[in-house]
Amino acid sequence: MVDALQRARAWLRPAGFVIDIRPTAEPAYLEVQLAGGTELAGRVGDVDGRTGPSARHARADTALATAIARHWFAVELRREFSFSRHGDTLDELRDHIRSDWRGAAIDDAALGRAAALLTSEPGARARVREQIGIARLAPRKS
Amino acid sequence: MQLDPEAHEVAALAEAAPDLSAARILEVGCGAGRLTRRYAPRAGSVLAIDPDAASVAAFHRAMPPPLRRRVEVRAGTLATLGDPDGSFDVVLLAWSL
Repeated sequence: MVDALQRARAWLRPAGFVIDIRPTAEPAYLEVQLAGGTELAGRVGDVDGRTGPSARHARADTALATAIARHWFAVELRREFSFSRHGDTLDELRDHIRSDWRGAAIDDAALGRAAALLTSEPGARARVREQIGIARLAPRKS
Repeated sequence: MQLDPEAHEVAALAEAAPDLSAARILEVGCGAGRLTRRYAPRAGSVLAIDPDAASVAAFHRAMPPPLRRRVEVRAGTLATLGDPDGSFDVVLLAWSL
């Protein structure tokens, strides 16, 4: 990952910059949107602690911290935003996470809570929400 | 499946990179082009790469015609792209670090 940042820097014009968009270390949440507000049903958990999202995000954070410590980049801007995935059904959300997220899954207890919330009122919708970080990194002169 | 219907991602990108109209962008980790399709209409030109050849092929097939003039898609990574030539205004690490 540090290598990727070094290579990214080498592709830049002197006045260019890197934009790094990726999930933060905060877990993703399964939520149900109801008329009165949003209810938490559970977390999207790591199936494998070594390859799951938490470990990957931690490695990416370490890589970026290393690149900054080596004076390859200066952080010009850093923000966070929430990113939601809305499924028509819980099965769709569960299958999406299973197939598109490496090493992550929604556990049965969370799915059960979400199913109960979804049946509690018409119009309720399920979503997976994760916190995303975005940073603009300016290359520093070697 | 609806992804980011609130468009928070593209708003955050617009804040981080307000003017891409003349920018030459290297996007790393384009996948099937979900994010590329959202920002490329306001970009100068884009070289979008991803190690997953199947996703790249799907992106290429489904690319809207107006984007074909400004977006080139290739299977690959930063390590396989060739010798860095310092020619990009922006390198966008799209959920790929």
